[in-house]
Amino acid sequence: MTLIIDFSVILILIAGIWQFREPRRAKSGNLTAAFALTCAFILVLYRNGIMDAGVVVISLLGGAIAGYAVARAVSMIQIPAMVAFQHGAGGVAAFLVSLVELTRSTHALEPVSQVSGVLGLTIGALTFSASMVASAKLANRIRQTPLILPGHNLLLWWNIGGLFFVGVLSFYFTSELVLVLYLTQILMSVLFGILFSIRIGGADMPVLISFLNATAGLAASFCGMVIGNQLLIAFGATVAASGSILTHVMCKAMNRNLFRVFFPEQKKPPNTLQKEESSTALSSQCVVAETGVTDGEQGLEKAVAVILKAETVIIVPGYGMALAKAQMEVADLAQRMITMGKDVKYAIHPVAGRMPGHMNVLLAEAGVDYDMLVEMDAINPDFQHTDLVLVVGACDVVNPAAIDVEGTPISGMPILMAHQAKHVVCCNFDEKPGYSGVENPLYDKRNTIMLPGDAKKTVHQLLANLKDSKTQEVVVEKPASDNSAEAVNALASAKNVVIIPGYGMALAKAQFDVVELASLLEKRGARVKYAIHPVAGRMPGHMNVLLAEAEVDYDNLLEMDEVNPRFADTNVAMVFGACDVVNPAAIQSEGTPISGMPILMAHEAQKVIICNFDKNPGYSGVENPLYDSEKAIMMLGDAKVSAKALISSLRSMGG
Amino acid sequence: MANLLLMAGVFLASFIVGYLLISKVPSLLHTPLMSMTNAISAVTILGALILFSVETSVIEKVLGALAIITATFNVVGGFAITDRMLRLFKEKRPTVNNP
Repeated sequence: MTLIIDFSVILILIAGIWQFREPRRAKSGNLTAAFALTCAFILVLYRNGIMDAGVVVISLLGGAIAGYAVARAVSMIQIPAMVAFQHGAGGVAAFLVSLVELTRSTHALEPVSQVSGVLGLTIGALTFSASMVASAKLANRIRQTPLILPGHNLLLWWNIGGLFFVGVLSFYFTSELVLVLYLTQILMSVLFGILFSIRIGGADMPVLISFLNATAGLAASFCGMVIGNQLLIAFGATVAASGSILTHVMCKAMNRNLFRVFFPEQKKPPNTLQKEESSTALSSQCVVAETGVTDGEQGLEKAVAVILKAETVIIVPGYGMALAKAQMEVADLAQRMITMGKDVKYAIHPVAGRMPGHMNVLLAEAGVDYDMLVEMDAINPDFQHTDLVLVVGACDVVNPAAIDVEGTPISGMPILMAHQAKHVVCCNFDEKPGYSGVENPLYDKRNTIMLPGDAKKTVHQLLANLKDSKTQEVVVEKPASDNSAEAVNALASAKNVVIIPGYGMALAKAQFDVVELASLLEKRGARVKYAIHPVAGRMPGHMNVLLAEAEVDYDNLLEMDEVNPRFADTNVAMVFGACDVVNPAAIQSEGTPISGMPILMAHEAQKVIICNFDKNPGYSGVENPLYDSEKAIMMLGDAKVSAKALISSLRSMGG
Repeated sequence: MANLLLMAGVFLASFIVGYLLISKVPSLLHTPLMSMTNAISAVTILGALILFSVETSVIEKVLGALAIITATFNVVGGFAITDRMLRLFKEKRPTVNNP
């Protein structure tokens, strides 16, 4: 009898999920599922009774009020962070229940229950900590980009080993000692959750958040096995299934496998410790005080001219930047160049600075986005296409003698290929060779401009001169307004328009303006659709929620497979803050991180208007050839501003 | 043993049925789906209730109460937020230009 009742409650839940297959019925599906949970709740109350009614009722009320208040208060932009936070709350409940069940029974638990209990404990606790990290990342409380510790993989494997060991050990002990083991297990699980989530960032967040959805369900299921409650097991398993599907869909959409998301291959600096010492010493020697190099007034002017012309810039910081405390000025200069429409990146040599990742820390402190800090192997191929390299207090790490000359102390040392760029501006203290004593031929090259002196002052002067050269700036900005006119022309005559939103739209909070633009176009007789890539945004279906908030009919939100055949007949595709999901390199080039990833075929449209913040590649780091295609009309800058500009231009055209 | 088999069976059956059903959910609804299943995962509230079905020590009361609070927060918040989200998904309204 109890079984039958249990199964009917599970059936109600399934009916709820069933209704999720259609958008129109999803709302009642949600209520049905809530009803199923209420039934289960009442059933448990009825069957088991409650000893401490007071405590239970107060806790219930407290949780419910807090939950409801928060649910009412959050804005749609905060949803990913909120969902992650709730996963964490579920994790806490799961490991607490498991802990109490495991410790309280005076009689020995069945082996099955004991195993499940330990699993519930472990998975619940790691879901909790990983969700808190994910939530903080999504809410921008901590940096979204991956944080990789020295020996991260090793730490993780040790941690897994430890969890396994203590977990098994706990079966063989009783009394007080086992409690210690359980607490150790919880602490290690919490640590594990932090370790594996902290190094997942950016575009991989949807995978993490889906994965945590699955683990939260799994924890609930194991919790149910300790207690021997079918309802708990069934509900938990359903959630685990849902989370698994979402994880799978997200991975497939990014052409990543789960293992690689959690154990990324890339090796960050701290691997070459011995080499480090000598080479850091090298770079520090570069800036040893020594006066008397010719005055750089002329050089400064030349440098400013070069900067104004350059479209792509790579900054190479070295320990000299740290000594001169110039990181803030460097970051300001970079920001200035970005607002001028230039593509700016930092090249980080593994041994630049005094400690592993030193440059990263300094630049992070100066507010530089981690995405702009590129490691040596990733950036070296880019130098030959780069207009300008700005060296700030680095010497041997950019010394081409290391590869051109045999038999020097630095021969064979990997360097940043700064000499391949069209121009090099060098803000070092002097022209002395570094620790190695090897002269740096880079300094004598014709296309190198030396700006000797204190890096902080030099960079500051560069920045000031850039600000002064207003006339030059007009030249730089003019093409931008031309672009806007071109975009308006393209839109004015367009019959079919497809809008492609990405995480950049969410960041710029531009969804309302995008939708306004769309309805304006519709009034002018165009057909407007939205193309939604499965992993656009930071969680599954993120764009759909944002656009729904801006009152877009869901019939106009098309999934990738549905919309892709339409691009060929599309007059204008508009990209708002999306990059990798429209990167044709995914299907045209082999061997990139995104090769094989399914994309939206925006490049097949007649014109593509791109309202992205900059031309930098997306999370994958793969340059987007779409930006350079003839079809592309680039409108760089804040997507909201670009959308507003388009709206007002279209309005002024009338019609 | 029979108990183990039953539990494993329930788990597997629910997982499979859930998997089949949920793979049919359109990607449009993935965020609300995750939000709803997130609320369902707070079914641990049942476990927390059962903790209180027998006499409890002080420490158990504290832990149990904490479990109830977090689980209720999750379940109520989860369903409420999903509902809010789904209300935003508008049905097709009569507009001039529909395909």
